[in-house]
Amino acid sequence: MDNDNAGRSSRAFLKRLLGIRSGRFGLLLVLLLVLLSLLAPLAVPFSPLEMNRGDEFAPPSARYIFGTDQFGRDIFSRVLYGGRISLLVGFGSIGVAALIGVGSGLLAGYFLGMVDTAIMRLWDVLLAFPNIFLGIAVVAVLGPGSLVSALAIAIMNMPHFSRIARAAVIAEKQKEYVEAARAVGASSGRIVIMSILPNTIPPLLAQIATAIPRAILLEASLSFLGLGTQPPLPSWGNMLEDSREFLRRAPWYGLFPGLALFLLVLGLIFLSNAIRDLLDPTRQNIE
Amino acid sequence: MSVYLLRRVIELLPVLFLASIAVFLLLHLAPGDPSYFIAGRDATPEVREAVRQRMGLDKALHVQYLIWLGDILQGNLGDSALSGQPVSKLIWARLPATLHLTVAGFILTILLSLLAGIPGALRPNSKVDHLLSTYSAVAFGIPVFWLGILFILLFSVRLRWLPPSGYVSFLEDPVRSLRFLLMPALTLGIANSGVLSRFIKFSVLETLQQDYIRTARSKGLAERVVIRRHALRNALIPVVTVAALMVGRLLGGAVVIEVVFAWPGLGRLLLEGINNRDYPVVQATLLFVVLIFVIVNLITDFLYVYLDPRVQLHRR
Repeated sequence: MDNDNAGRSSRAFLKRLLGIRSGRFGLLLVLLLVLLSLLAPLAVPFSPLEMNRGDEFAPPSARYIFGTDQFGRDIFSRVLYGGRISLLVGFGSIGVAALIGVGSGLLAGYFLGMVDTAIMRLWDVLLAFPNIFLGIAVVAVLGPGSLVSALAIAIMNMPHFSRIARAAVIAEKQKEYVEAARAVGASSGRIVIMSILPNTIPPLLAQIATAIPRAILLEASLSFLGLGTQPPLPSWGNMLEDSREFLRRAPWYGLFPGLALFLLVLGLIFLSNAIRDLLDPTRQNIE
Repeated sequence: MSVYLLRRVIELLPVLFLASIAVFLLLHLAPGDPSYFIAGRDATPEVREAVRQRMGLDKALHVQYLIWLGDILQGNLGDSALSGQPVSKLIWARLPATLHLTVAGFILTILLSLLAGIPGALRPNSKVDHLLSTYSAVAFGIPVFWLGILFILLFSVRLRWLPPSGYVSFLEDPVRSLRFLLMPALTLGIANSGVLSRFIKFSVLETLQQDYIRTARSKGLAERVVIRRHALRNALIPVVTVAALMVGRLLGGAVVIEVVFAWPGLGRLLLEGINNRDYPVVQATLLFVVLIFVIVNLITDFLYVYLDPRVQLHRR
């Protein structure tokens, strides 16, 4: 019955989301790019690593829709495959960040005292590093790669989730239903998970929606700096880094990977704005 | 006021202290023998032994940290593992280029944000508002490095108006300097104006709903005066706090933009350090960035208190 309820309310949420223009537009853009990336193996005409001898720097044509790079690789195929890495790192890192961040925030807010101080100080230190630099620091230790950049992005997002969960616990703890739960003899763990956690969901969803496009941008930035996904594996960031040398000969190389990245991020931003509007009714007045 | 500010300074010390430990640990968390990282890959055993002695690498970790911190506090940031030059000299050499970029980028950020933020708030839901909102969304979503590449494609490859890369100090040759600076700074300015213009818009909108605006209007002040003297002034106070956030983004954006335009700044120094596994350079540059970031945050707090007398000592 609970499942049924959740199903109904998420259907209702989707309906309201589609009622907002930026929600419709964002969802359409994101779904399109996600589908293309997921179906990449079926959709691409070439393997993303296949070098077509004699077709180096071929301009966009019917054969190579987005043209080819310096090794004659099909840029369209590489863009679609690159999308998989962006999506995987973006969603995966934020998922991990939310899990660990919320867990630590719940602990800190429920127990307060030493636990709280220790956890919050750790986040203060992380926040002292501007994002890219935290990524660079993590790579300095672990070496470059997709997984390391995902880890770095997860780490830099944890403080925000932790703070939200902590604030929610502290606010909810005062309320009567928590006292009632305690009065009937519920354990701490049970109170936090059954009573408090559900109330933290709206602000956390809003945070997730905001964090994912940023994470995808950051993954691309790190790859662009040579710290993330390593060639020959395609990612939008490392393709753009590659394209820099050849802008005069192959302007299309600098164009398409960036366009894909831009459209995905734009779609996610529109979507996140719509989601935040729905979750926080006071925001609608200003928009 | 001074009590509040003093407390903020004191609060920052543990953060700086812990951040310095984090930066110190980079060297020891990385797999491999630290003496290689400091002395360089092809160092002889004797040289590495000397490094081990000097930095106390055979001693306990906390002793090593104290030696390292002591050196840094005395201004000795160590020597590059690659070139053997003092790291402080390297940072000093790269600082001007980064300053050019961030200062120009900051000015453009503010300018573009005011231009894109205020008109929409004064005429909500008008055509101008929609146009500027779209600009903000695009500026926010566009990847900095791609924007830079687009500028190069347009202004260097197609129109041949501006050089795609290079740097000259403004003090040496202002005109040439600006020709090099224009694209990188504009890229940085546009990318950062996405957030700030939205923030400015909402701040102005909110201020316009305040009682004192109604009072100003009802006492018969011209709308222009109401907006300039009462609305904008008050609306721009919270904007100052966002400036700290901007500086973080500005520094981060600068690293990426330095790569796009082959700009010889601190960001490139840091990346070269990473690629060469030149840990003294990486550590010193990171520490330097954190220090700047923290100081800017502090200055923002000061400004906030100074601009808005309602913020009292007991804030937070």
